[in-house]
Amino acid sequence: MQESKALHRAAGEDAHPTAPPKKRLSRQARNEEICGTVMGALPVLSCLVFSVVPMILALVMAFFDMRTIISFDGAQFVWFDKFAEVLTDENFWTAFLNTVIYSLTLPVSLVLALFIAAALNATVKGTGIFRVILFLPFICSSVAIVFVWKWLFDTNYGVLNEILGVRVGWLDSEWMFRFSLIVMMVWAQTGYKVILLSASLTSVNQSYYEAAELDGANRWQKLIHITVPAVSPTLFFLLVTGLISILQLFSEVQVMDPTGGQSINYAALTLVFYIYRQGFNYFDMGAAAAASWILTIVVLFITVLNFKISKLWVKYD
Amino acid sequence: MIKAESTTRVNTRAKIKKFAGQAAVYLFLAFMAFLVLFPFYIALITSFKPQAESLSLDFTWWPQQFTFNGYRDVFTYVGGNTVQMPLVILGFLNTMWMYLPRAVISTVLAGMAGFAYAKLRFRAKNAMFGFLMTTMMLPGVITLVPSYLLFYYYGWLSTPLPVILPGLLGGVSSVFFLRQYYAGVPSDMMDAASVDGLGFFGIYFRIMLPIAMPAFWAQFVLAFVSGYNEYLGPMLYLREATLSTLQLALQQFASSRQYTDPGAVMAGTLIAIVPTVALFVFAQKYFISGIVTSGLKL
Repeated sequence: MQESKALHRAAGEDAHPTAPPKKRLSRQARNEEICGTVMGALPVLSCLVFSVVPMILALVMAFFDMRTIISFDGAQFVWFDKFAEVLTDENFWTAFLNTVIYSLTLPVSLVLALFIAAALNATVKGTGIFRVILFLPFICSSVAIVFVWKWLFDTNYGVLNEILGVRVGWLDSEWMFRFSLIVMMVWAQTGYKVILLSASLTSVNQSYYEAAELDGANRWQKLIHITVPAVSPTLFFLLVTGLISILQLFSEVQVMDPTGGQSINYAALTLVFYIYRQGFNYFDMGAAAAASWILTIVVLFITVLNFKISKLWVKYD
Repeated sequence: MIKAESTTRVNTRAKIKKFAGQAAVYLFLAFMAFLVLFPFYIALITSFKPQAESLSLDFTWWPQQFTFNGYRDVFTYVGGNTVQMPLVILGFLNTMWMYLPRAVISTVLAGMAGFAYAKLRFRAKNAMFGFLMTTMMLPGVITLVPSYLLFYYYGWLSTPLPVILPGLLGGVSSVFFLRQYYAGVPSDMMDAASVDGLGFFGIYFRIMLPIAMPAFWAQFVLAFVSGYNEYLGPMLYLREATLSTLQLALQQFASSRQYTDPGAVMAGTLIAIVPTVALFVFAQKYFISGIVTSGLKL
């Protein structure tokens, strides 16, 4: 795939060309061949057994109407019926829309992280403590984060309403729920991005800024014309991995509302939550597998698109 | 004279401007730090409030009456488990034995693969590494539904194997990170070692692993924390109360108390995050360097 090639290049793969040995290998070289293959094969083996095999199985399952969640006993081959079932299911499209909305977390936290990272790098002293504090949410489990925020959002006793002097049901209506969840996730996910971006910023050549200052550039211009291009590989990395992970949002919404937001037009139903429900609540494994493949295709499409667009804005040195 | 005076004035003005700029930056950072810490503070004060106070319409910023009832509740809650042990303790112990060895083994094996990809010559190298890189781009959710079927077929349902085995042979991102690390280590070290008669496994375990300890710590800490915080896998496969992990225990405890005793819920969440926060504070250097290097070098 093109992506993996691009990643190889980024990883300096070309620096280690392995010319296939043409003659009979020496004892040493044969030993190296065997040991290297064994050492390198373990994660590959694990990926084959726990990713590739299930992926293929998911494709097979998507064409069957299955009676149980644990076997193909009594399963019927139904062609594309399961895909049709998913694509005509109103809940699927609600989940799709929700997933897109929750993905807004990513640009918001990226921009915020960029500002915080720029601020960290503009200081002289004491950045260590800020880094540690900002990073804290990253190591907390989503279960813990959700229960704390659920309490902050509480309509009657929550601190948010206390501070704002209002009585808003932060989690009680469709759009409020979505908004509140994004707020919570921005809180939880920004610190990690700050750490990466600020590390990437420290490698920016200070002379660019000095030259820009001589030319009379203001803070904003410096941010757009020097900082962003300089950290663009890191931004790109965060965008690609961030999208792959937020399109698979599950724990946060499931812990926040285990029903998927039944009373608020299923605002908590994301695509993965939908897949989970179809499979493990309604035992419709065929539909769950079909939906998994649809999500996978969406994710792959967005990732490829990301790599294509990256050529326009990501500057490697 | 006049010229000199004006330059000093300009310098002072520049200094003031710079000082004001720095102050604004610190103020902004302090505000962000405050926003991050605020929910923890609320959780902390709520955990010490008696039920009547936390469920009172008069909000208090400091507990008027201190109580440890929430914490006592966490440590005495048994839930539905058949083992005579508080659920949170059971969950913690389960989390430790399921995820600690997994993190150690997967990091050591990931390092071995990373070493092989960076330093050894073998035919399948590029194909294998390219394959791993490609799987990194796939969403993990695709395996959710079919894995259940497979694990049933293997006879692993109602055992912890489904949460332990998939990551055991080396997480892909760790492989990638450690390969990058080894690419920067000079190869002559290896040549000297092979003259000494060490095999390639010997070279890895005796030389390459020890010299890369900081990188290994970083990957280990990340692997352990991500396992510790796992939710979906345990929820699907560890349904039996005796296999409950800490996250499942917290979820169960907090759900049962959320409308009746927020103090107990907050006590539970704080107890659940204390081990990882302590680990983070202790190993912060490794943590941050691990994150930074694995992210930046991609």
